[in-house]
Amino acid sequence: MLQPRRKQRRDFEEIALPHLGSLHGAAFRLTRNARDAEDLVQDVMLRAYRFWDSFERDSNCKAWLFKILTNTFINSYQKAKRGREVLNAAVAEQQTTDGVLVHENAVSQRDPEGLLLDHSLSEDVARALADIPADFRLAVVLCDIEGFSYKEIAEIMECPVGTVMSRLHRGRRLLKQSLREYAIAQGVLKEKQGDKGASTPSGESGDMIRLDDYRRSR
Amino acid sequence: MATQCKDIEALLPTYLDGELDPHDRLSVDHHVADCAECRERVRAEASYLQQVRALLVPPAMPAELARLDQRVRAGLDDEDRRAMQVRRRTGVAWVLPGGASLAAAAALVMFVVSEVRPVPVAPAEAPAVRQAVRDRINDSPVRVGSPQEVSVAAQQYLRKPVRTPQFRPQGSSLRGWQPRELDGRDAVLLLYDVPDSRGSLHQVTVHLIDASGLDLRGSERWKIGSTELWVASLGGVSTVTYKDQYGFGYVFSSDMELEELAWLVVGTDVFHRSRELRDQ
Repeated sequence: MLQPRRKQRRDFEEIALPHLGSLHGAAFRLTRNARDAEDLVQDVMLRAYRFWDSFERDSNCKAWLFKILTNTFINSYQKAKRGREVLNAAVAEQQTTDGVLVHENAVSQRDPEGLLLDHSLSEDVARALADIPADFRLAVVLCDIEGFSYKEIAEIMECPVGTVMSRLHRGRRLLKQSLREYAIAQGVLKEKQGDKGASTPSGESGDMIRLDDYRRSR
Repeated sequence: MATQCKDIEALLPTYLDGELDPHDRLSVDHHVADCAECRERVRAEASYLQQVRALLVPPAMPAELARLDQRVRAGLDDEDRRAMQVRRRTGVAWVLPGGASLAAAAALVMFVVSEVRPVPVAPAEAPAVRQAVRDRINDSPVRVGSPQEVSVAAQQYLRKPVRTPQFRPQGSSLRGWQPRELDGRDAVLLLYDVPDSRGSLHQVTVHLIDASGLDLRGSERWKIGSTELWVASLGGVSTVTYKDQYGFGYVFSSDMELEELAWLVVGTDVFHRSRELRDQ
């Protein structure tokens, strides 16, 4: 009589609860706010517990939890921001198919490593990530933080693999673009750089990072 | 068709993610082997991706995570409790009173149907439980200290390894302890403030006592899985007692409802640990 409920609780604590850290980290990257991340994951876990019966025991629990996380995030936490997001997404879509694409490619060809010379940039990366549209951000979080395969992401986000690829690649491109803008705004990266003797390991005509300037700007 | 420089841009992200189909992958490999410029491009892009991934790793937040873990477990408790009430409403008992008396059964039903407090009064309470209840209202001052300090003091007093229970609800705190005597045995009284499910604070006292051979007759026995709780309600005070796997006893008493107190006890760390050991 008591057994089923107790077993359910124990199974859940054994199988689902160990993913709490991953969920929390991903939620933090998605919401960029510790409070929201906690609320989000709390919702996710309670939902997961309520639907624990429907979880197939030999399938991937982490993916199942992330599916709930994705749905919960999109449904409840994004609603307020939805209007702005749609606009952002539209602009982003257009940028990736316009002339901007050429510009971005140009960036990627030059010196992508140079954007990330210092670890204190991690806050910038978080901020840049938070600025990209939710669907793109989800794809980036699921792939680049959580290491899910395209196919797993397709199942989590309930969309075709092709859509995953376009969201992921566009998301990354937008991220790179933001990082570049931050770098320029902080005087780390010069749009056009002469030769002042600053050293970049990959050298050539790429954008120069002046680390001293960068550190001073912090 | 052989891969050319202009194709690399489109294939690169998928290539780096290791998600290209074998045919495309091979053709990229071939091209890169021949083209120094694309080789450099692949190298730089791979390095960028690796760094960005490292930067994306969320910061470690142990305190937040611990708090969240507690919150989630408390949420699961609530879910369990709700499920239990639903089952009880539909006539399936989840917690089975060991020697279920009619009065207790009626009280449990009343608890569900209305907000009436269940008062299963057992005929003759065990002396230890009666004393524990009386002890609640003793007015000698408690000795204050951090949970660690209290543990150490209690351990010295009882000459046994002691764990001071931790309650799950946020806002629970250990206020202090007193050396006491219960049924002729050394005991340590711990005084806690614990919020109930509506958030109002209650005093909960816990008597730690060597319970081997302790007489608990008179209290009602509830079974939660393989673990037994002895519960009683005396003059408006609820008590819940359980023995851990070492025969160590914990007598919880509070003015909150019996049911509520039982759930708090079940949620404490000492209860979990002992249950897990027993179940293995």
